[in-house]
Amino acid sequence: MMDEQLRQLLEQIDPMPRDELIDSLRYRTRLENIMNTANDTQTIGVDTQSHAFEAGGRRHRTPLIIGGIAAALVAIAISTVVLTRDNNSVSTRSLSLADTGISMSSCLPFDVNVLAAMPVAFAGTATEITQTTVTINVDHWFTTDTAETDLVAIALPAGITSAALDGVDFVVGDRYLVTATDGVVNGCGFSGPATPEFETAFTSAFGG
Amino acid sequence: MTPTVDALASRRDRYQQAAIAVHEPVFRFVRRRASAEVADDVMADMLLVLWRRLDDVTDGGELPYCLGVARRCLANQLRSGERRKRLFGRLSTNMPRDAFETQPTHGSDDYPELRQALAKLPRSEREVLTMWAWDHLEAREIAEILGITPNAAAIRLHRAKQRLGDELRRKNLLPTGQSTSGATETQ
Repeated sequence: MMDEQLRQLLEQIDPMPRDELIDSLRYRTRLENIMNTANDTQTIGVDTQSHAFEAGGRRHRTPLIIGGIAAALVAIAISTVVLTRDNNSVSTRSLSLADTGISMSSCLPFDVNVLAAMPVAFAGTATEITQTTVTINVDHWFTTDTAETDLVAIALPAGITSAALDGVDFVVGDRYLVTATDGVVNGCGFSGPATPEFETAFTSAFGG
Repeated sequence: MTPTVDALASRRDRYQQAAIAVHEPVFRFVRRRASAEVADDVMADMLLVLWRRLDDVTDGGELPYCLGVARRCLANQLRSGERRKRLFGRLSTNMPRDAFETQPTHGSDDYPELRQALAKLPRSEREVLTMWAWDHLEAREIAEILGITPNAAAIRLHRAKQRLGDELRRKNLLPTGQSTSGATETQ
């Protein structure tokens, strides 16, 4: 009974009451765009000669995309790349997780050609997640602009208490495919859990 | 390795059905906590994450999953807004401080005592309480969204109800002599 009364009271100050209509047109349009683009994305494993795609199937000018991504990432984060080697000869590279503030709605469409241009790409398993760092045990370096290391420590932006890529939390024990530019891990679909489709994309981009 | 045409079509259908089903509750959830502009971006982010992670989402678990994603995207959006504010000294006027604030975007002059009582709750309790009252989420769903155990969510919700109930009784907004229900009743 008291719960009922409490809820009724609080509903009086609901900023978005249930009888207020919402516009779904823009949402439905976005949904259609994603599905159209995603259909192309799913064909990565089928047609590795035709990598560039976006909604509607128009091809990109790859250099422009690469430049755009690089410029955005440089503008939004300060990076640190540090190579260390401890007494047990376990080497660690430090990257940072971008506190981008960039909405994925403003991300460029995923493109294997863009992926192939990333200076740092590796696969590994998350072994430790603290309030400040995610540690990845690297099992394969696709490419790197410095020496290959055993571990990668990804520092979280200040003030962030959960480590997430594109809104999805890292999980200890899960394997990830990660790219980085200027010491900053790339989101926007260019890093993420190692699904079969994503593995195929990385293999296509870097040749295994 | 390569998905079959049937599998892709099936995935696409599932995605479309899930996206349509969660639209209204997720949009209302986000809009209750952020401006229309921010809500629009968060919804776009949520749609993309849902597509990419659809295979990880259990059947029937789409709504809590999408609410959890939206909550994290919202937190990112609002953090970046704070950063811009620090950099440029200005900000959208109706942007809450973070994803857990519950500043209504309209009608904010009504029910001042109720708003004050709600505002006095600890942020974590305010968040679960508004999820329960406004979004009609149960403790187990709240737990999934927040990444805590159902028991912890139920206890937090129970405390929040008790604390707010006590405050409202002091203000004579609720009748005295009653107490809020037990935590298990919320599940």
